[in-house]
Amino acid sequence: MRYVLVTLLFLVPLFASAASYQDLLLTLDPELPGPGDTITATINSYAYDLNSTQIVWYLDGTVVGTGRSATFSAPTHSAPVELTVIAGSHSITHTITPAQLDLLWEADTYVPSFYTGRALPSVGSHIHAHAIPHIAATTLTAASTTANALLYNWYVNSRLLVDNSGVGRDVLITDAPGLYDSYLLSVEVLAPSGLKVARAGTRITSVEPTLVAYGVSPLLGTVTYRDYASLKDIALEDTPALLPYYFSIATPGELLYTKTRTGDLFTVKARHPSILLQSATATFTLRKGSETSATGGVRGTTTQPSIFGL
Amino acid sequence: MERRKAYIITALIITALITSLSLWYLYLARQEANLNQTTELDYYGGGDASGIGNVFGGSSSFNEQSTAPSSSLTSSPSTTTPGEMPTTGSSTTEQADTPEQWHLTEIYASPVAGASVMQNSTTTVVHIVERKTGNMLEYETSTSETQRVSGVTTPRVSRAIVLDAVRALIIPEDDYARIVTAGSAATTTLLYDPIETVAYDGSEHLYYTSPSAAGVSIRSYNLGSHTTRTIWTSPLHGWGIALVRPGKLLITQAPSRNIPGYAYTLDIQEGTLAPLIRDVPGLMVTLSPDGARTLYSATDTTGTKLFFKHGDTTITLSLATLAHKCAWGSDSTTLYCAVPKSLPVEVPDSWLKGQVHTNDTLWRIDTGTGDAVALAQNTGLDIIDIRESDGVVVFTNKADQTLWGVIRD
Repeated sequence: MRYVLVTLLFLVPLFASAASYQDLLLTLDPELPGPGDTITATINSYAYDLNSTQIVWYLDGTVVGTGRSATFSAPTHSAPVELTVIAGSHSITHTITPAQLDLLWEADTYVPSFYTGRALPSVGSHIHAHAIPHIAATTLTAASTTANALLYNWYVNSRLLVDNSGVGRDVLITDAPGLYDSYLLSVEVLAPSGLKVARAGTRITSVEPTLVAYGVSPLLGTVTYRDYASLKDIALEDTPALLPYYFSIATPGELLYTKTRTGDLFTVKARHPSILLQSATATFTLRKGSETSATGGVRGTTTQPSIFGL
Repeated sequence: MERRKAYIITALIITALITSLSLWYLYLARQEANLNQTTELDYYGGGDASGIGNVFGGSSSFNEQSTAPSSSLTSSPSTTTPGEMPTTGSSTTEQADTPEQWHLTEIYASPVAGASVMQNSTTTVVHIVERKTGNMLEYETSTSETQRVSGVTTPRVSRAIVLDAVRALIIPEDDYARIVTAGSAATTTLLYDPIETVAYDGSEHLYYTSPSAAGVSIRSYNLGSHTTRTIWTSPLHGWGIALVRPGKLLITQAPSRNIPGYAYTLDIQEGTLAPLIRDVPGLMVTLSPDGARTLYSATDTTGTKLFFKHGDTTITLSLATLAHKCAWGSDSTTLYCAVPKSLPVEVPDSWLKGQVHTNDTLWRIDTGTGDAVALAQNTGLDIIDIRESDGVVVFTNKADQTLWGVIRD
């Protein structure tokens, strides 16, 4: 018993010392800063009265603040910097890696080749996302300076996409949100050492496919710069072309059309052959002299102009 | 009796309260209406653009709520010539002396697929590729005469890039792209790659995006050796490209309202990306020829804003327009911007689909001082593809693809 007491007498100060180091808690806001970001660093402790302790902050050896919190700018380059805070006789050091992560995405839906806008998701389509990190090579080991060496964790809302995450998995293909729905797509990047270096997220919302009617001219081709409804001064053939936007091309096929007429006003509804909720409607007044087009049907695929009046 | 008196007093108090609350409600409703009206007028300008102004607002504070530059001087009188639009133009220093006079003129009344403005030994010449025929034409600004340069017929041309006085890249609607050379021994060279967007370096290389199953490739095509080289590949399809000298391409993600976009500069030799503009909704970008100045627009649910970035400084311009309606002058300082009288809702998507069009005023902006001069006001044209050379500004009307010019008198 006497030996036990003597042993405890020596061990207790050692445990106390370890606990005091762990009890210095450093937090950064933002947690993963980018180059040039304003960072607020704060230190807390449950073991010490920091209010009565002299606290000095150093960034790569240069004083950047005093007191329990300090605000400073991350360097504009992406090389790592050492943040050290000395509180009385204790200190803690943290490596800040200013990094940027771009999260780019588009949907695998059809848009006409002349259209330079984004392909937006519709129900039943897929999202293609690409994470592009901008991290200094010195953050990584010499053998891992490429994006392929990083670990990518992909999330939809808070759900980790286990099958799509992993080393070098910088590209994601996943289901688009449901009808009138949206989700938060996010990705975090970790260095081979396990150090979390950057995070990015974006909200993605599904839209309804649309049909836009354009005029067709024998010499001009499809007059894509102006929709059919607003064409007034260009001589056109009788047939307008209906161009689909945002139908899924993951499962292409012939669109199912219905055409109704009220006087000169035509309403054309297109439905995806295999995706139940993908449909679009176009309404337009047929130009004068186009009566022959009014009697036929409509035909076209998810990725081609639909010819009206066949 | 006492009870009846109490009822009467209570009724009077309730009536007074209801009356007070009603008056207060009416007052608040009126204030809100005034506020809404002010916001709308401020944002979309509300009136005609004056002939001169400062897009930087004359101070370091940003002015984010107006489509037109703030007026600081009276513009020079409008001039009207039969068959032409009324125009005006002047500058701060020239106001005291002789104001610059510009006139708007229709250069080619049939839809064009592409055009460029160049100097020859005596005058400024506009080279045109006709959309219906693929023919190349030449318009002399000094005489206003047009003559046909190439009779090689390619119908249904969707896009064209004029390479020089006798060569053009022509992209038909449903056929291979081709390089057509005019002259007595006219030649046509087919390019078998599918081409989506394309840029030209002004000498020997074309750069274009070409789709594949895995995404898109950016390739260069050597006009002399007819060889192609893949510079960069992306798992995403939607990219626009433009040339930035020297040795750099601007690549921008396809825009959509309220959806973040990214733009990069791509080193043509190394194939490496450098971030330029990140995470901006509805992003559209145009870079000065020297690559030092960036103009970009952002469009979200609150509207469209235009930004000018030089070095680490970014300024919000008092012009609400899309960056694709602007172009840099060859000096990399002068900016030409078409500013709509009002921006339609759902831009840029609806505008890119051709469903809506704008009525623009064409401004010339000195990005060194912020001074802006209206070269043509309320043109009734939806201006795109602005090109400039020595006092001649040429552009396309997106609504019908006709070619127009603003020419200094």
